[in-house]
Amino acid sequence: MTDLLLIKEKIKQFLGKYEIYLKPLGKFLLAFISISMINSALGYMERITALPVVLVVALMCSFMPNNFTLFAAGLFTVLHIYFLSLECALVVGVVFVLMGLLYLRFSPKSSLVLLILPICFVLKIPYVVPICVGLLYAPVSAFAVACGSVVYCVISYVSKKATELGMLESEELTSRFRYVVDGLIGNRVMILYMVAFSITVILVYVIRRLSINYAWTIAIGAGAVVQMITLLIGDMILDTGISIVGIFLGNILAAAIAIVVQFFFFHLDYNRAEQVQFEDNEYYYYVKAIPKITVSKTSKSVKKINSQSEKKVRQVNGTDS
Amino acid sequence: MLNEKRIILMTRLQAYEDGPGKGNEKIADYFRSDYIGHHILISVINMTVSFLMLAGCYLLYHFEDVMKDMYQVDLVAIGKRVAMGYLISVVVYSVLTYIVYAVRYVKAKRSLKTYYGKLKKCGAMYAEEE
Repeated sequence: MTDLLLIKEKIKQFLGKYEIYLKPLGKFLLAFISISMINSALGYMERITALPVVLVVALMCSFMPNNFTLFAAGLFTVLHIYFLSLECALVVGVVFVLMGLLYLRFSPKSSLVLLILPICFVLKIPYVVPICVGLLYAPVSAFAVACGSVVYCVISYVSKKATELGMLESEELTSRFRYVVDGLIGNRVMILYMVAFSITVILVYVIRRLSINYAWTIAIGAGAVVQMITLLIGDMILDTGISIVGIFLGNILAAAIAIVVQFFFFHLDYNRAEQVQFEDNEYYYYVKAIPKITVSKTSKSVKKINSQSEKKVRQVNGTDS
Repeated sequence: MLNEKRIILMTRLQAYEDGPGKGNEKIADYFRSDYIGHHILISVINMTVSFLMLAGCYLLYHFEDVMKDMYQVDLVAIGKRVAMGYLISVVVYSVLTYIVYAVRYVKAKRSLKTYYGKLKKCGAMYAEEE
């Protein structure tokens, strides 16, 4: 355990020391991965799938605010879909604009969730995001998780129905539009994910804010269980065809990853909890203080004794590198 | 001689100034009514644009039915229903905006009050040393 805590301190120091370089690098990687995944899932407009284009856009995203990455990812998605079907691009564009106008202005910091959730879906670990969002953000971020589910399901729908959407050219504009809207709104998997993930975020947030011992751990466990149950019940009712084994294994993995997140963000020693009471002119205070578990780095001191002259003793104090 | 307590306090003050302090100072520059009113105005515009987009999508979706029944339907009644729907959505969204930004304003002010208190304490430490 002490070794893990030492590793955690070293990582924190490394991140703190090189934050000025790591932050743009992280934004570059996030933008590059998001746009590459969009290109591989859709990829109908060949001009923007070229590596130099992706690299240039990702480089721009590394220096701009986070919302620019979201804007770039949305633009790439709409451009690809436009090449496939105008009506589909119109509907997807309207969905993205509505998300931006009605939700993201309240919580621009949650824009990262809209990028990370689809990536986690592709990596087959989507269930980790609602639990981690509940641990780290406010409950209003449930909207961000729901929007992230919509983004992924929209891209997934277009990718699966590409052939059918392409064959609709012979139909009238309004028929094509209706087909696309019915397909997107009637997507039961999307509705199930939105509901299950939102419930998980709110539940995890409520439990981790309780002033009980091991609140975060209980929140993670409860979140994973409730998420599993909601998805299973939803799958039975809506007949969505989500893999049951995937739900179980995914949630177990999500809980494991969330424990790691807890270790980095909220590691407390409940054995040394203190409860104090005091008063001032205005209030009477009941305070519970729980110390964080940290370890200080050991400092090495090297003594070199010159054998030729025993009186000369040099002390060198060095730090770990 | 270095005053450790003062240095720790100053470090925390600087960290606040570099982090949440920036946003909170921008918020506190406004009067409460101006800050909330500004965001409600943006919300009204956003909701109007969103409503128009959704209305356009609805019309396109039901285009054939609309064209078929256009001369038989009571357009005034439909207009009233649409206007009512628009007003309700604007009011609900504005109320939500009011709540969110009122809470943000109060939190920012409270946070800045604590910051100024600590700044005063730091000034008092300097005065003591002199």
